[in-house]
Amino acid sequence: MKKGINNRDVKRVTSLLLIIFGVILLINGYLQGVVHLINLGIGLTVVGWILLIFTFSRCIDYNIVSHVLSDYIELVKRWIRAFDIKTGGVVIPPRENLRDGGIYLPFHERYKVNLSIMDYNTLLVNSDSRDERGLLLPPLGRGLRKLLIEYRGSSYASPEERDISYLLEDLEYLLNLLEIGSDVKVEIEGDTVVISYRIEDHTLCKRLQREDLCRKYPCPVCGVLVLTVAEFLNKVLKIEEIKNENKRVFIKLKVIRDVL
Amino acid sequence: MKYKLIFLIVIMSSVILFSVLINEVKLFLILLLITYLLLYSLLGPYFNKRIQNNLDMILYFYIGVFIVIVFQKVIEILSG
Repeated sequence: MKKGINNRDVKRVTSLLLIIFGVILLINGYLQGVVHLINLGIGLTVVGWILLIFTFSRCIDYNIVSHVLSDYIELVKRWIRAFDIKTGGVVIPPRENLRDGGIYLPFHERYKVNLSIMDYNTLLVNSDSRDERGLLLPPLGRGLRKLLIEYRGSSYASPEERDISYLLEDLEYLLNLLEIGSDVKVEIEGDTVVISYRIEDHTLCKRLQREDLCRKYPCPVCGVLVLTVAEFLNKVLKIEEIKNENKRVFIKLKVIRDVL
Repeated sequence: MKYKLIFLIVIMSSVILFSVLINEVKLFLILLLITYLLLYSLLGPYFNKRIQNNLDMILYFYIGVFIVIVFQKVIEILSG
């Protein structure tokens, strides 16, 4: 449990002080008959009230979510260890046979992505070809992706939605809405895509990176970003690297061209 | 965080500006309501449901105040 004064406590004290100061000004203005003081008193009380609302409301406490997720991540970690998976995850955007998309973890370092043998019910991708075998898991960010579709209705199908600024706006909106991050940037150069964003709480990032899980099976925050970018580009992407530097997360992706 | 900050900065500056310039409480309240409505409609979708529900409370309170002001004005006009 965290001790000491945090940022939220400071805001709460400030808002209460604003309300008290506002009420004092209001009473003082009323007694002295000064309208400007009454106005200022009412205004400060309202501002204090709004500030108080902002400090008490938090949709998702990411720390709690990271604890809830840790059981699920433990399960995935065991699978990855059991199958001795060394390559980075492959992000598959939503398709006809795979409605929510997926994360494909190939068993071999020289692999091929065969989408025709993957569907909604596939867990173990089995094929006559050794290079096509792997593990297909639902991406962790798909719930957040659904939330984004529900709130913004973006499917990236129409020409105006195909603009990169529209994608950036969507991602920024989601991170701000859930208070998990901000300042998203997406750079596309040839086959390389780099996504970067500022994360509020990087406790889970640190743990996942220590266990080399980030690159193979990203957390819901990175998951929703890579899934949305894959859907925007409508391309299968390989996660090359995910690193965290001073609370800024960099996700390097590579477009896989030879998809069967 | 960015949108909350914008909301607070705009509402705070309008409070200071209106309270200095306006010499009537009713007019001040109406202008503050308009600013609040404008900001809430523009930035409201960027806040989560819990914040929106709490901000709605301020809105209902303001609408109540607005109705009282309008009724007072109507009675004032009718009485002559």
